[in-house]
Amino acid sequence: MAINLFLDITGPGGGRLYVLDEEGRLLRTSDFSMDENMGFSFDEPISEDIEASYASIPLEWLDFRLLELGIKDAGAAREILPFELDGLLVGPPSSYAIEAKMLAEPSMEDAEEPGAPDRVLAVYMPKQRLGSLLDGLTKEGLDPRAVTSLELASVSGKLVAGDLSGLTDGISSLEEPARVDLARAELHGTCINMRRGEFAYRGDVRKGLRTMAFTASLFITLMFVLALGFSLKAVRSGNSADMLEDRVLGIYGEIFPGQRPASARGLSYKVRSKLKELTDKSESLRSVEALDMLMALQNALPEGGGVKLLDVTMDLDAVLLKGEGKDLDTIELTRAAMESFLSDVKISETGKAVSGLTGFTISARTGEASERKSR
Amino acid sequence: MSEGMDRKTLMVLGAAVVSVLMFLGSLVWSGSASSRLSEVEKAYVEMSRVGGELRGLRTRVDSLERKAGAAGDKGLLTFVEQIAESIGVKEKLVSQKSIPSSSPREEKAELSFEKLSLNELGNLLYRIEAQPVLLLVSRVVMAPSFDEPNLIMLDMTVSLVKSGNEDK
Repeated sequence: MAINLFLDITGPGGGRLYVLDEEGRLLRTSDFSMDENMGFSFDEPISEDIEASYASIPLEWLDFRLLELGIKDAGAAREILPFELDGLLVGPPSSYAIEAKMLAEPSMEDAEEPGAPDRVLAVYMPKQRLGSLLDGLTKEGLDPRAVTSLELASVSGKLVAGDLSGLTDGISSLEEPARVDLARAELHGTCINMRRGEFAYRGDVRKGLRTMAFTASLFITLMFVLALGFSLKAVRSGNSADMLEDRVLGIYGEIFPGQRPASARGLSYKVRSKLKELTDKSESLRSVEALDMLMALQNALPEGGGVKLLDVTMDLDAVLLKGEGKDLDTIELTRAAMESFLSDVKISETGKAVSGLTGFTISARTGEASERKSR
Repeated sequence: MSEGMDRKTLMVLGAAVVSVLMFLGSLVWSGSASSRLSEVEKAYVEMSRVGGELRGLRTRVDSLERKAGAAGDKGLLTFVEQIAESIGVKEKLVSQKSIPSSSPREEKAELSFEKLSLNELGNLLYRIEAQPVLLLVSRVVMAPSFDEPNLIMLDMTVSLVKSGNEDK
């Protein structure tokens, strides 16, 4: 469970530590001591996860000036205050941590001077003291989100009402229950915060940076893992490519004995060119396979007669057959049977023959011719 | 502390830049390797296909070229007469006419046979194909004899191819 720590420095010797939960409920209290060098010593070690810590300093550590700046914006007032306080402080304003506490303009009925300008309470302390306090806390692993003052918070109401007497009296009467209530209220918005400028709280920035660093480390890991994955894939692809390239070169070496090119790139063109050369040569040495063709034609004729071939003309690419059949159906059956070894088989002409049978002409392409055509 | 933070931030940024560069480098490397693999795969598939086809063609062409080399000095008509004589159809060879050829390695002739029986036709065609020399038939026309329709009249164009340079 995350907790809020409130260090209530009540005097030079130390103070009380309030441990509050996230809702602001008081979980426990303990004492802590503080030496003159702002070295802290806690009675109980703090083992929980600290959500945020706050420090309250005693009113006597602070000095005040009431100014009328005529502005309502605290940020602007903080910018102006060092110049306004110049000459009013012991030493240069740059040696002081200065905070502006805006005092709302009193209502018209209560106002001693109706229409008085907005007033600002300049709260300041030596930077050296604030720095020592923060260093001492840092050594204990604490980085307070704000350095406020419960005692100032306790008189805040009076200040707003224009009564500044609270700054000098009535503080010692602030008992612990009241201080705890004030501390709880401070969790939701501090009365003042002396941590400005060079002492500004950067814990959220650091937390953000830590988150960013974690995200960055995840991103870097992811990039490395992806890079590793892609590299492995590249190595595998490269090995497979090398192996296949060796085979390609092996085949190439069989086709072109004694030749061993450096890579498989562009070999297809050479091989296709060689294939074309051989195909052309083979084409030029083709012969009509007349005997096979005659036997095939004989087999294609219907058993028991019915079709008789009279003229047969064969060349390298085509076959032209003239004959007579008893009817068109038989001729068509013969044509269909020829499709098993010829292509584009067509009955191009039929008519009554002198013999009384049906004369026909069948044209066809040889298998090799149709293969070349489809290439 | 600020310097330390800056150094850490710079280190993280540096590591992030290095990791992104490595990632991009590996991506490019992997892409290039994949593209090379795909190219080599294509080459392998084509080479396997074309290689097989080439081997078959080469075997056929080599065998034909060997036959072409066996012709020696004899001419086409000599071989035709030898074949016709060997199967007893020399007297049926009624015409043999040399015709010009486009290749200097080739002798071409038109042959006419008449009154061939089916058996003689088969023998003649078989002998032409089975010759140890390269005899190519480029055209065959068969028709029944006018006076004896049971016999066949055969016209064919035959070439004798010899070994040698095409450009001769």
